Amino acid sequence: MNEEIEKTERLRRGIVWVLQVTVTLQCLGNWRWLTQIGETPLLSWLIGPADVGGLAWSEAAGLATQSAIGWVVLVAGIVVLLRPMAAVTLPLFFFQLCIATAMWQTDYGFVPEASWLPTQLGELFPYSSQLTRIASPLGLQLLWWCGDDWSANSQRVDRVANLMRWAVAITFAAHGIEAWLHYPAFIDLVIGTAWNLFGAGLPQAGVERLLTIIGVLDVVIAVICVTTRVRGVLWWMAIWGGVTAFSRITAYGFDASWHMTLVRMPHVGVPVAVVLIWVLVGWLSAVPEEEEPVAESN
Amino acid sequence: MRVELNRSLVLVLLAVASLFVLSAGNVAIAAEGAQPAQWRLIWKTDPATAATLAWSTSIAGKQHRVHLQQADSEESEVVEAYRSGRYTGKSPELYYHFVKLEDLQPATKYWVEIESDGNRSPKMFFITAPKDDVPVSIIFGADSRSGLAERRQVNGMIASMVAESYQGDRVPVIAFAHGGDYIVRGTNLEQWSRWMSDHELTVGKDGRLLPIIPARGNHDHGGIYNEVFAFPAGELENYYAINLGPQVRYVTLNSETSVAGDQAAWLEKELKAGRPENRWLLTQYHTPVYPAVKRPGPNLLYWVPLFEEYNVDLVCEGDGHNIKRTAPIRESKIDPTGVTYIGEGGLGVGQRTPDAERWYLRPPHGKVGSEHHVQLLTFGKEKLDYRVVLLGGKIFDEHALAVRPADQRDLKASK
Repeated sequence: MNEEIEKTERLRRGIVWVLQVTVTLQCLGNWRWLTQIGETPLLSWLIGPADVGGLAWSEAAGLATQSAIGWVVLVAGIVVLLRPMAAVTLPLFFFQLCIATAMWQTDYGFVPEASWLPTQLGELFPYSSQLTRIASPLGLQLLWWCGDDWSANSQRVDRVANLMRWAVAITFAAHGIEAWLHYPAFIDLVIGTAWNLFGAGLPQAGVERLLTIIGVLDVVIAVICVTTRVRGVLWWMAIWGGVTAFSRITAYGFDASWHMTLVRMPHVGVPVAVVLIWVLVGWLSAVPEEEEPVAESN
Repeated sequence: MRVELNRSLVLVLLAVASLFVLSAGNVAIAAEGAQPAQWRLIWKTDPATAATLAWSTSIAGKQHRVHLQQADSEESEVVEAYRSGRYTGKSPELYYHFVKLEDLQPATKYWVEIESDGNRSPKMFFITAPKDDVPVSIIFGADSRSGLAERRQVNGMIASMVAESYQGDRVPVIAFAHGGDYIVRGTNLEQWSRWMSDHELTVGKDGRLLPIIPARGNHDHGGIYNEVFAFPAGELENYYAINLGPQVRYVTLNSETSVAGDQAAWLEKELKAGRPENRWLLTQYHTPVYPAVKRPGPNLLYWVPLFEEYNVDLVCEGDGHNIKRTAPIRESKIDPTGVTYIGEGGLGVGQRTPDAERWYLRPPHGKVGSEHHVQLLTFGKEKLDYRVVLLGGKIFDEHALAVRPADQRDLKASK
């Protein structure tokens, strides 16, 4: 029995650790993006004119604020690695929400267009594609609030896993739609990776066919993720999340892109955390109740 | 948990619904009824013999055509619109119409009058590109997406510059090359409508229409771009090449579609064919490869080797919101035989501070600045003159590129 409890406790700590490392790496990537690279949707939003959705700050103020946020995010990432706390994780959650909002306001990134899709909904697409990054610090904090004894809070823990599962599924579906619609950046990621890793020159038409397949598969996987508890699906999502995150490096080189890989670490860490929570919850529900000792008769 | 989820779902739906309400804004009226407005003359094929005239009406109408008359001729012809439709987007209600003007004579003045359901535009004219080897100029700019008051002022300045260029022995400005980012949100028809209305300010007081050579910017995503510039519906490529004169090849690329796939292959064929045939070979696109403010786009990896292999003379870029002229660059080093990059967009957008410390921007080889501007390119027989004209008319930068020696124009391109 003690071995079961120890095993459960190790897994619990491991799950939290996965999310801590995920959030820390995410923060490191964001730090570089905001302080070294500099051009982000956040900056565009801060200095953009008000008549087109911006906040109309001066360039100097925008750059200084962005840089300050970047350093705060880095420190927060280090603190999270040592000990998650709401004073740090919740601002990180709001920071990620802010990035998605800035993307919406400044028309940054992919905007799907289809006759059946209202334009305003298409413009909100960044929230879906960024959802796992938004959910990553939030999920960590919610689990931290579940305390050390998950057996007493297993339903709460399972709800947190559900929240993260939905975030991963929506992000997966969003990227699936991007792939299905042949987002040009994805075409170049595949062509660049194939050339740099294998010396293979892929024709664009072939890559587009591949992306169509990937896109459909992503949406199907997302649906399975939220309608079943097949662990293999989450493992696949984690692996594919890692492959696509690292494709930035394989296509464009390490120096140009490592921060873009790190900000995508939630695409790996969050599905891994979810599947491990399922394992843990499964163990917890299988542990028999401890029998009360029988009083000795004299 | 089910109750919590339902409650959350209701809140999300309410939030989304409120966004619809909040995002509905006042809509500027761009055109009235079938009265033609928002005209633009577009060069995407051979500008010596063809052009596309596009305009808008606020009702669908039934008959849309252009009355075309060669300036020194008594005869006129009527050319019917080959395509009409409603711009994508709920508001404003606006319709586009395209007329293809073909079989034109080079270096010839043509009068045009646009007619929709009996309503006529003012009489305007344009001049086709020359077929003879004579000096020509174009104006290049990018990023008119915000700073609407400045945009209108710059457009007015462009019209004045064009008019002045036809006086005395100056080299005439024959076109306006736009490096992208016309508006902020590519799916916002209202913003496009304002841009099209402001573009009318580039028409001279004498009715001179200035042809536009458009490139797509990162903010210009979506279908409206194709409807504004008369590209086929659904087209994503939007790259093409034209001759501004028999010795000036101007290649427009699209940094917002795949830069590594078909476009790179097309670019190589285009540069290989174009280099030996032209004294001047230029490209334009939006996302810079040697930027002054931002980081390079992925086109650095796929296009720059081709620019250098085929000895492109000058590359025109946008996106940075500043003024830039790089040193001539080859293999990531300053090289007098290299490629020079200019840009980066000042047609209205608020200007950024360039990083003058970047190795390719430092004086004396490079120059950077930060004011609303256009760039005037004059293609002569011995040199290409480059001049930055600030809003207000002050000259910020002047530079000249010499014609490349024959071995740089012929030898490498023929391998």
